[in-house]
Amino acid sequence: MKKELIQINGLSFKYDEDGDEVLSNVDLTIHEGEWVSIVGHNGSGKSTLAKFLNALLIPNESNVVLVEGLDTVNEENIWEVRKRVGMVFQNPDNQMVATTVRDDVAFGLENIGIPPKEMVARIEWALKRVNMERYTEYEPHRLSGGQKQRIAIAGILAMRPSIIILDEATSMLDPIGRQEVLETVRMLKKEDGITVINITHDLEEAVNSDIVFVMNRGNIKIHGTPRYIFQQTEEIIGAGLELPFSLEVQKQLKSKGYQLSNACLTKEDLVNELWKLRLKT
Amino acid sequence: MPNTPFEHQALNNINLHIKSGQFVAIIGHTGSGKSTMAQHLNGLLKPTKGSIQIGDFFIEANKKNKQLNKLRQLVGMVFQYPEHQLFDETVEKDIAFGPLNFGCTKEEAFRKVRDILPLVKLDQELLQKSPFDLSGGQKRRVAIAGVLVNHPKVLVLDEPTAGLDPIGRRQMMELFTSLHKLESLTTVLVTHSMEFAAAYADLVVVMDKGSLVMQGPPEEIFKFPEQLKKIGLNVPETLQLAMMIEESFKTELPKNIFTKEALVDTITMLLKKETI
Repeated sequence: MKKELIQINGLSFKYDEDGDEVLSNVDLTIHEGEWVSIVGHNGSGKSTLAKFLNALLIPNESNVVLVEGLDTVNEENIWEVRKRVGMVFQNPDNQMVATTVRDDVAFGLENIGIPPKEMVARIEWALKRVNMERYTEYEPHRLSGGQKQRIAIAGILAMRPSIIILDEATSMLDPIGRQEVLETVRMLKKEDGITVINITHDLEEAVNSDIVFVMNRGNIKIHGTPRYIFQQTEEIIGAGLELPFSLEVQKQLKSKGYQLSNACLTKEDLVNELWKLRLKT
Repeated sequence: MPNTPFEHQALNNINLHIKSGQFVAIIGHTGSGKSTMAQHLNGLLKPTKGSIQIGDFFIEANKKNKQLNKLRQLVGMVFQYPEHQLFDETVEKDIAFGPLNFGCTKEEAFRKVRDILPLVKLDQELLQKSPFDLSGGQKRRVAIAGVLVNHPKVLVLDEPTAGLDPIGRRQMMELFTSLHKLESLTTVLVTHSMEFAAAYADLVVVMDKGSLVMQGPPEEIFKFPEQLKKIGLNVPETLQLAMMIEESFKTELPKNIFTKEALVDTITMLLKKETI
């Protein structure tokens, strides 16, 4: 059994005393080294949930949010939790704080009091990991969206976290930028064993994850492997999401009387299944 | 900013004709100049060389333009994340800002506001609310209403669906296609979605490094996947899949498969043909 990194037990939350519950009774376990997707439409509560994972929001009771065994309700744990869980937000322009790429990556390290010599080494290492080492002296605002998000990731990496949360981190990027960011994180997961939590409304991005949680109205409706989740068509549409492209095409083919034997998560799957269907007939 | 250290040639020798009533998509990756070009269409930016004609208006390099106010009434512009531009106390006042600025009386302006609401599918009840208390989708509709209320003839949309979830995205695009028809608009859509360009546009304009590199109807543009990939673009997913099927089945499929429905029809036809 893999180590449990994050545990959430019956988390409920409202922003307003007399408002609606944004999260209601959420249970969630995330294991070390997993690629986790949390999907849901705008307003389903997924970003609020993410804020609990790195102690930006704090539950009212103990034993509700545990990160590597640290209870976030305990104030002494907050900084340790934030060191271990790094978060990349949606808008790249809102997270650049310095005038050069190097200083931007240094920001977090300065905050936690890393000695200068080690800081230089960590910055160099982190920028290399995201393939941005040639941009050390650049002004962040002159970079593309995808490059800015990679700088944000480097800033997190330098803190040596065990978990990276992407909160809609690709939704403002063009297709190339999105590719860059996802490739970078995929590599970090593979080579550095970092646990990735990708929060998105794009099911296409969830195709390659280990586990998918589907949120709707502050609740986790279903969870499981992408292959399992994507066959729960009703639940997905009910949660205000759209099936990944190949599955949508497969569904429409089925309604025309062409049943493919396996769920097609990718275009390659779909072409293979069509080929099999042709051999059968 | 010519003659400053920040000088940078953002656009280079663009020649483009857009006919009245056309739905035009401008595609290109980040930094290709597509938003810069769009901002020339209502005089927010002026060319350093060359000229732009919109209806009866001329914008020329090195000349003062007196009637920009009128031009901006003619050309409505919806920026990226338009909801970030909401500012007034109530939805009603926010939408009325344009008409008041263009010289309407208060009564006239508020009447126009009420008339525009159904077009963007907003409820009258929202008028006295603060725009900041609305949901993201509603905010964006309010911001768009603030542009449409001036009854522009040309609507320029800069990535109008960025940040929306799939359903929000679809509703927004349905809104723009219906407006395009209802209001007989000329629509210019700046997007990095090949799917939108293929599905909605009559004319696709491809930008790269500040130059216009291709223009034509979608079925002409998307015939050239290799060229598009070289400049960081691609063909729509439907066509990508069709091309994979072509290769695997050693067959030829039409080049204008731009919707899932068209793709499914093509596949069923192919399967039928194969089984005979």
